[in-house]
Amino acid sequence: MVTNTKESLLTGFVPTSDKTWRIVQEGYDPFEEHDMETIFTVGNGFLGVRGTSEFISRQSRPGMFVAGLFAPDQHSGLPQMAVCPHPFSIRVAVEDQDYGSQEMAPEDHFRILDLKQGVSFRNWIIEDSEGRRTRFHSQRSASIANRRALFQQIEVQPLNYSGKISLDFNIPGRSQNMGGSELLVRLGAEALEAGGTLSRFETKDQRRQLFIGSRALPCTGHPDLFVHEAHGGDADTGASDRWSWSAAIGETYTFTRMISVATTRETEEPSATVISDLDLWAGSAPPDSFHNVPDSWRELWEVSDVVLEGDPTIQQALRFYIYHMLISANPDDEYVSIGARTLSGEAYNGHVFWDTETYMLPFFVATQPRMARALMMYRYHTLDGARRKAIAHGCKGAFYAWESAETGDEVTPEEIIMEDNRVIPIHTGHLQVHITADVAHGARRYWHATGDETFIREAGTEIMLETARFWKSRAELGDDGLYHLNDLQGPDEYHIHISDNAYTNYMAGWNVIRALGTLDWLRDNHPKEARELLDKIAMDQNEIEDLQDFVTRIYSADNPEAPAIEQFKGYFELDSSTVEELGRKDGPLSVTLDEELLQKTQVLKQADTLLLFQLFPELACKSGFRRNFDYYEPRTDHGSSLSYPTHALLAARLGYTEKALKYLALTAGLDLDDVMGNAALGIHAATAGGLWQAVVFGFAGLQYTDDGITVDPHMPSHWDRLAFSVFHHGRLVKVEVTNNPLKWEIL
Amino acid sequence: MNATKKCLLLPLDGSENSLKALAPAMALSKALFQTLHIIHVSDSQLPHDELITKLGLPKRGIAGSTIDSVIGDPVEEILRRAEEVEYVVMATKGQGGCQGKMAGSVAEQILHRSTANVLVIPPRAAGFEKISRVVVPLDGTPSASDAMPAAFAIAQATGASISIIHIPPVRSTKREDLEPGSLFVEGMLDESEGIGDIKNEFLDRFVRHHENYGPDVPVTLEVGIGHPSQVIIDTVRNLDADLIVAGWHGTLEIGHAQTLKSLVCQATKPLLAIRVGARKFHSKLVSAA
Repeated sequence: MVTNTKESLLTGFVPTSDKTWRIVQEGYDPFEEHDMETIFTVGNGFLGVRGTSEFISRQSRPGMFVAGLFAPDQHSGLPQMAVCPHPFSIRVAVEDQDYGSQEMAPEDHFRILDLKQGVSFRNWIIEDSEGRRTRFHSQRSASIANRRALFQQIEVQPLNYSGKISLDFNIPGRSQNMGGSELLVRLGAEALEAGGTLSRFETKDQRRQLFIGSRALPCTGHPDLFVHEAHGGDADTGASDRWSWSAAIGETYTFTRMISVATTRETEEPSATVISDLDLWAGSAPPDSFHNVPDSWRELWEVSDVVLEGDPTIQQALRFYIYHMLISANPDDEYVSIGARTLSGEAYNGHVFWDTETYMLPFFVATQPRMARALMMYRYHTLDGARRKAIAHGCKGAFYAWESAETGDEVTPEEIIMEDNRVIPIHTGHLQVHITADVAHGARRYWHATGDETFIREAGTEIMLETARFWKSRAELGDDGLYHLNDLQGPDEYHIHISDNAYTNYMAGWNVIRALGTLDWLRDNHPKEARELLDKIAMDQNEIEDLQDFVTRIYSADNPEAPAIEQFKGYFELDSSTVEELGRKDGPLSVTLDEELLQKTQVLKQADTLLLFQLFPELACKSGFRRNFDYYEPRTDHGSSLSYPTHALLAARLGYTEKALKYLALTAGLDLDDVMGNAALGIHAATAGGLWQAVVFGFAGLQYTDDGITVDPHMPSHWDRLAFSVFHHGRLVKVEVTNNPLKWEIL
Repeated sequence: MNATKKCLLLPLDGSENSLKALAPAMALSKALFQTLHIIHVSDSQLPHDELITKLGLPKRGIAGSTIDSVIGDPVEEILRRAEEVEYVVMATKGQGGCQGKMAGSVAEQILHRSTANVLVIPPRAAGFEKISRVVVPLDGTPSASDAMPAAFAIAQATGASISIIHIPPVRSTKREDLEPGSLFVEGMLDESEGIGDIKNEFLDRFVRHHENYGPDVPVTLEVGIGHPSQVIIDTVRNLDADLIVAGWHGTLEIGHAQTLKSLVCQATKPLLAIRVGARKFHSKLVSAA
């Protein structure tokens, strides 16, 4: 436990005391440092900064990520989210002994991530080779009010000596992506006349420039005490904003720092913008770094919080993942979306997957509709990329990228070349066609829940129609007179080159039906816009009738006589052994079974057919929800982080409480307990959204219906109260479920 | 390991088998610029010429080495001198061991009780005169990676490359029971695209952060699935490696150090056993419960 004594050392901001509102690391372990850096990320949707120590060392994997700042990978040429210089870097010298990046084992080390106030705290003591002990305490946050702004406060206290200390508020001149590649080149840096430094970087392809302004000011003691010097330095030293003074034993010295970040992607005047931010901040007396932080966060949490009384572990994880979702989306930028590992890590190159629409979007639609709108508008702005992909595959309409970056063009690597020169082909970019319907589903979900007519008129209908026409062009008319979707891959990635995947076929049919329904609505309510849209996308009445015909003839595998909906054609002919029967101990079967052998079994990597019951709760009563869950769950290997939350949600709805809680715990601990062993690479964004869905759609049983909102709670006996808010057609609806006896209210 | 004692100890008992350790000891001594101390422990002090003859050493001696005849108990005397060196080099006989116990009782006791790094020449192993490739098995625990500094030191001195073979454990334990900071590449094997990322993380966490890591030593990482000692032996054979460098916890009791025991019996190349210390760092996330 962090004791009161320790926390009493903190000045200014004090962390929220409620344990479910904060994440606390006690101690220090270099081998867990990358995990902690991910967990303690601060951000605001425009940028994210990993919780890397202020003193960068060999144990550090520092990273600031700016949404949408991609540069080509040096090997594949595909866009890769650039790792930007660590903006909170500080270099310390005591009596000219440079603490730089020395290997030091900090004592009394703890970190606190205050989820409620959006501030990360860190405390540590360093003893140098002369026996001098210095306590450091830092606070950092990313502003919501001005998304370019980062704030940092640092306290320095010499514990057993008096002497000269210098703090260099450094902006490093280099930054490296994993594997050592540098995607940014420093163009230069300068000391600013009014104080601080301005550093300029450019992506290696020279498409974008990044500007980082930094200014630190002492805010304790006598101003005459401190000597200041700033210089631009070079790529090796970075830009230096240094304060030196003669420190007295036991005294605490506090500095505040503002960092402003801008790129040529979002502004034509990044340099002036950054300098203006610094001047405005320094002009306040005294500069209060954290002035707007709590108010902004209070507004976010008022709507987005989920209160769960009776289970503090799940409550803490819920807030942790909600925090990470809130710092991943930017309501003011329609040209970016959320990468698979948010802005907290660089796995999957910052690319956007179906995770956004299927797992995260429901949270944003329900609690932050402006953020949800920006995410869906990203899909609208990248529609041309999806059109290009469709043409490349000999199809019509829009075939969304399995991995999407800036333009919406497909950026999934075609293959991975291993060190032994083995070439591993990556099929997903070609075969996981369901992404297209997933995007359409997101657009429809957003419209249905918010009633945002402007969106559906100006963007949503076009997405729906272009994705609908893709399906018709992708399908093949069989001898049986039905349309079949052949040679694809469902969400279950263990089986490839399959046909008539139940999930994909259903989603495709749904996509076309809803597209036609949306077109009807537009024709009825805005006939001129409907005509203009059809002209724009060159869709005539014949094609519309073809689409109407398509939905009546797409192959459906729902056979009540079968043990379940057949996941794909021929699935039931495979070895029907369960995961347990095949001997999974811990870790996916794909590790222990040969890939070819695995494909001969019915074992699936993650929820596939069952996902239909998550996305379409109305199917539950008519298509054998329980029958399907009972069949597929024992055959699911959970080789993907997407699998646990879906199973938690569905098991909760079915009243399989024990099972639901098991999957919920795995979901909640995915990053905090490092369940998958790869938290170091960034927050699992889909899991964050999946946990929220499991609690709200699963345990509370919330549904959006045409008649409004309904709940059907399945509360575990130890849960006392569940309360949350959701927007519905612009109105904030509060839902409260209490237990023992079970009661609920929709206000 | 005590880095301040830059020398090697080669105990020889006069047998043909023990002499198998001479070539690797000389090669290592030359590469690391360390003095080679050869000792023979017996009931009586032997004159130099007689000692040379008994041990089968060249009459002209060995450059950069010392040779001593010592009276006393072999295990105790070797252990006493092992306190002064960085490496002990010993060939094992393969008697009896390999069926539950380890080969060669003296070697076993030195391995068990000495804090020095022990270079073991297993019965089936040929020695080496040069080192081109070093295989380091890592199971994904931080403590196993304590073998890396010794591997780097040898690779840097010899110009060798390092091939890491990661053998994730077949786990029935819960994650919270594992050593903190552990990382297993297996978790991402099914996600082909993620292999590069997790391998990089593995290398960063267990390899690149060591103080004597340098990009001048080529390092590759492979993942092996199966019985650890067999995977290591297969890897050494496939890569035509010269040396295995492996960390171990220093306990040879039944149920412990199974991989090390198997390698000492069955490896076809010399094995440098690095005794890893207790974890120095501790960190935890505080539960809200």
